[in-house]
Amino acid sequence: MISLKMRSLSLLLLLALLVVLLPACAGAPPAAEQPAAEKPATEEAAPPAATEEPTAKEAVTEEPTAPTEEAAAPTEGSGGELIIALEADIVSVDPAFAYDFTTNQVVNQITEGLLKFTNGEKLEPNLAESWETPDPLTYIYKIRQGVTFQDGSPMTIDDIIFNMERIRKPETASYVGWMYTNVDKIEKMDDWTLKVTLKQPDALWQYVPATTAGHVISKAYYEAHQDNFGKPEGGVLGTGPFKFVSWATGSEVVLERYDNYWNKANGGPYLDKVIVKILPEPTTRVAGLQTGELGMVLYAIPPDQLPVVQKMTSIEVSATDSYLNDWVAFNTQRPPFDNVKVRQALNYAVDKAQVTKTLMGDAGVLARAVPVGPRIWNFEKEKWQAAYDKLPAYEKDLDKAKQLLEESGVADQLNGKVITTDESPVRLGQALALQAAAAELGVKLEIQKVTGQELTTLSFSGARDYDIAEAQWGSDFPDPAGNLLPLFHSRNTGDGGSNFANYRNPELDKLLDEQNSLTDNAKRTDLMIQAEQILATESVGIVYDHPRQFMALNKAYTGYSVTPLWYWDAFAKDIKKVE
Amino acid sequence: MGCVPRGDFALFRSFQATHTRGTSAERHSYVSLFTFYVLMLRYTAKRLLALIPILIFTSFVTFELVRLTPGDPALIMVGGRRTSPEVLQNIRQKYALDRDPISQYFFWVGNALRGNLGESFRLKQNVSNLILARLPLTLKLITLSVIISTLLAIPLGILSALYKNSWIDYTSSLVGLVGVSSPVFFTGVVAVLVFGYWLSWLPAFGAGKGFWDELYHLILPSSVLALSMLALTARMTRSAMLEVLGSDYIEAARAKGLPTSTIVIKHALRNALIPVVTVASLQMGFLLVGSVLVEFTFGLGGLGSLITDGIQNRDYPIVQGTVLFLVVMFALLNLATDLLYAAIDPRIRYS
Repeated sequence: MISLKMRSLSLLLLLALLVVLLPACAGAPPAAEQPAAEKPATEEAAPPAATEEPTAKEAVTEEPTAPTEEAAAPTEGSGGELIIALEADIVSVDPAFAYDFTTNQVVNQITEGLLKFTNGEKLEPNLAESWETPDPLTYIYKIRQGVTFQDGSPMTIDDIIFNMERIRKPETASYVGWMYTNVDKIEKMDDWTLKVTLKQPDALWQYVPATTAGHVISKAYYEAHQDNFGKPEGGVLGTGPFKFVSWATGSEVVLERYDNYWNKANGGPYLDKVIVKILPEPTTRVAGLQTGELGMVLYAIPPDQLPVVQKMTSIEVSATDSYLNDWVAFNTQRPPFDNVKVRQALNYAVDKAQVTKTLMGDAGVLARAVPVGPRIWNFEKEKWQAAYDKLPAYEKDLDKAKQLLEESGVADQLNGKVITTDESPVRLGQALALQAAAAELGVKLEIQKVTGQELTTLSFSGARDYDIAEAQWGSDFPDPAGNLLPLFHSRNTGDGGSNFANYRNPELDKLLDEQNSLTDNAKRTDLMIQAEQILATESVGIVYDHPRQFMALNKAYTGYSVTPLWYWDAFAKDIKKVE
Repeated sequence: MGCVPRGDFALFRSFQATHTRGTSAERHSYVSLFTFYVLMLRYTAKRLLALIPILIFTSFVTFELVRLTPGDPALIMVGGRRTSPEVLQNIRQKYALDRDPISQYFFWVGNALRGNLGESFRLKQNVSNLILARLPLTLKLITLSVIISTLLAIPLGILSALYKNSWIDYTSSLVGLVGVSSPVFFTGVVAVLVFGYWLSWLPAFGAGKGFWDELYHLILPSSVLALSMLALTARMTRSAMLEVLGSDYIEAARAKGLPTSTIVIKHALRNALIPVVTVASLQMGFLLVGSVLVEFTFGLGGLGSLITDGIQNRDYPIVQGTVLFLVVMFALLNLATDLLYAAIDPRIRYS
């Protein structure tokens, strides 16, 4: 007979053995284990929970670890860690898949493009020293010499061409591959000169090298890590101010300063480390800012808690007007919304000013009929302003709306569904406002709430299976065409296209194509103004506002405030701890 | 459960131990131990074999169900971004999305048998790597939760049983009720606000590095989870204890003059623990995914958020891979529990 004691003891030992072996069997330790000995609670290195005393005097400045080799000497004022919060996990560290508000925040610090945007407006040299356009189809870039990848290997033109071709290929299924649609050839003129030839003139191509589509990665590194390039195990090798250290999916990404970064012009990079935490719960992000556990939150500040964050004494909130648009698109190919008077009537019925004030407060700038707001007029401002003022504002006018509805001839058959998502109170609120306004007109609109993913699928699918869709769109480029073309050109109505209004107007297409083939911004503006006048009259959608973009940064840091194209900015380079 | 003879047996054993000595008895014990293990292994093998049809069934059902939900994964993969029909076609070919559901299933099974659970549509990573990378955190979280819950619930249950219908009993019922009724995402946020924001005693998010740091980070989320499980365990302990305490052999022990603490801990508790072990293991199984709300609130990258994000994003490979994995985990957990019974209760013999 076995005693109870013996049996249980032996089983317990077995169990203990299993528990010990299990972590070993679980394979390679998650990459988060790797970074060198960190003192526990890395949050300590971030600014102290300065709820009383906000500023510089209290902030702990780490001593710069000045090594003696001149090439690798970090700049004056170096040191410290910054902890940033994202609202979702990044998709990849491969720039080919960096095309959203979350992934870009990480990738932009590791890899960089031939050009860059300053202040979200101006195109400036980066890895390319200069560029010129001898004719509208040819772009010649002079590549900067002496730039090295984060492992010390030199950057060459072969790396650049390799990555551009890689992103172009349909097999890669890169999210930014579409930016190369008009590119015919990418050639090497000599060791330091790159020539890009377009199939037809394209006014927007000039901006592409400043986006992730133009980022440079190491060809050798890619070939050595083909299976897991961009994934946590493989990482990425770029020329940017911070190098990739580790990525624990769903938890955090760790970046370290690259001391041999080529661009020391404005000083920087200063920070030793950037730790990116993934925190889906908005309250946690706000709490983190308050306690000082988080140093920075860009874009992911919950709109309803914005006032709370703005009141925090240890936090500086910077804001900018943006190129984004909050609007509701009518499916212009589907009755009764194919009737222009119906669309105009509904537009006149909604009090957009009131809705914007209630939903956004001053987090949104009221829009006027078209998704091309004042902030995006980066050239020919007076022309744009003059034209803008003449556009119909569609201010709430119930009588006019009723009259238009009668004139439309289809007043009695009016009903439809508005698809929106309740994942964002703003998007839901705008749909509800439309429903309420329509009710005043006697039009019955139903709201269909779907998940953000479903809304995306429906909005981008060629079937355009919806009556009215809540939409958000922001230009990728500091150019009004970046809003007009993707949203309203008929070729973007197919699968994967962003023409949410399903708008097909050959006259508009012609205007948009023509302006895109020109390089003279004045002429382009004239054509675009004509296009937006058509769109305003046609009332293809109800444009509510242009949401402002916000960034919360602990006052112990300084160096960067949010720009309209923050999603292409290598912001971490300029951030440093206040001395 | 909780009938008479077992208690007798334990008492008898303790009597025997104090009055029997001898090497032959010990030698017998070792041989019997061997037999015991052989029996257990046979039983385990049978259970594992039974797992195979279960896996086939669940994987097939999951696979087809997930494909019936609305939403095109190719479009979601490039979601919110522009793309061209060629790229979409490429994506569909790459992930075998253009074939009919049945052949897609066999394509997936073929890979799965070779250990390749496929690549996540959205995260572009190997599903098995994703699961294995996130598993340790989830395991730590649920183990700590069950430990905290059990450490709190068992004493509460015992006290409630001993002082039945007193204020202790009612208070512990109340605590349990509040815990089980409050939604986890609510208590989680409250916990973050109280302990992270106002008191700043504990970190509001993250998992930390190194044993003590991780413990420091996981205490709050585990406590939140434990609170929701407290009621069940405490209640079960209470009723199991009440039943055991009412039995004859306990009366006999009392008659013998044994102190209450000895009776409770040495004799009654061991027997009352069997239903509690059942419940705890079921809760752990549930928590594998149920911890998602806590993961969301505290910014922890565990299995729960992996699978729920996967479902929301129509990330078929993740959903299929994790369901398969969870079925196996759950089955193994149940198997472990049953084996544990065999150790605790000598009457439980498996053929």
